[in-house]
Amino acid sequence: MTLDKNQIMNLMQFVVSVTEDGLTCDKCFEQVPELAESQLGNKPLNEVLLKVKNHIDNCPCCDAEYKSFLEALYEIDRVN
Amino acid sequence: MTGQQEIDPWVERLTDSDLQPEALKELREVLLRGSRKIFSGANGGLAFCEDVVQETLVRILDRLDQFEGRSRFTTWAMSIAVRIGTSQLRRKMFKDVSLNSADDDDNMRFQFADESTQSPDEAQDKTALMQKLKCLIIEVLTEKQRQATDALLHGMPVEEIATRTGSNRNAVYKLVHDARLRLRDGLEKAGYSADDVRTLIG
Repeated sequence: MTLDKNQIMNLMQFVVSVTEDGLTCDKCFEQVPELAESQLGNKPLNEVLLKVKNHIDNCPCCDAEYKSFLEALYEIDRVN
Repeated sequence: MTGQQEIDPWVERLTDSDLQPEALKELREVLLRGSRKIFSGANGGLAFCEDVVQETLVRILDRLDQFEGRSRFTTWAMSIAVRIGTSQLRRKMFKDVSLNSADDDDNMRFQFADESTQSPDEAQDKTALMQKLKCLIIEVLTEKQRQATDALLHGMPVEEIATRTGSNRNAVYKLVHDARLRLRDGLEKAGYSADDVRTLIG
């Protein structure tokens, strides 16, 4: 394992930012449409959606997908 | 769906052989609009977007019964397109990148940049933190956890690590998440709070 400065920073950040998370990526994916609509509509998140948000905060891959997803929804809504 | 009497109009049209062609055409337009926005840049291209949307439509028709009506139909459909497109792009980007071996503990190196601008105390504290982290990586992580964490830090996505290791995305996520918790707990036991670490690496 050879890490450069940025990777060490990322590892440290990765370690200190972790929180308990009982969701899997697939379970998160199932709830993501509802989360996105709640967030885009500035609605408060219920307990389930807070767990989904927590998973996204913990998972770099789901986080990247969610950001792309929101961008796509903005575009669809913008044209509609 | 919320009930037999509340079938979503999209689902209704997509399951009616007379209405399906027009519904697919409309849905394709919506998904292409969203896909072009996120995939047509440097990594994708319009042909790529078309392929993603085509695959998404096939999957949607196959899984219409899984739509539960908790969001708009088009939002649900777009989430599937994002998952398909992102997975394909990740496969493309990492197809020639190998997974490093994790059994080279002796070769584990942390290469920090020039630290000449730091005070001796700062440099010493940072070195101690790095040493502790190195020890924890060796002592509390399994070989698989080291390998997956290393790959993730080198930019490889979880699902790609899963493919290389014959696992699945959920399992690799849990493997790495547990590794992070172990390292965090190890640092805390050694007296480093999250704030201490942020200050030292800041």
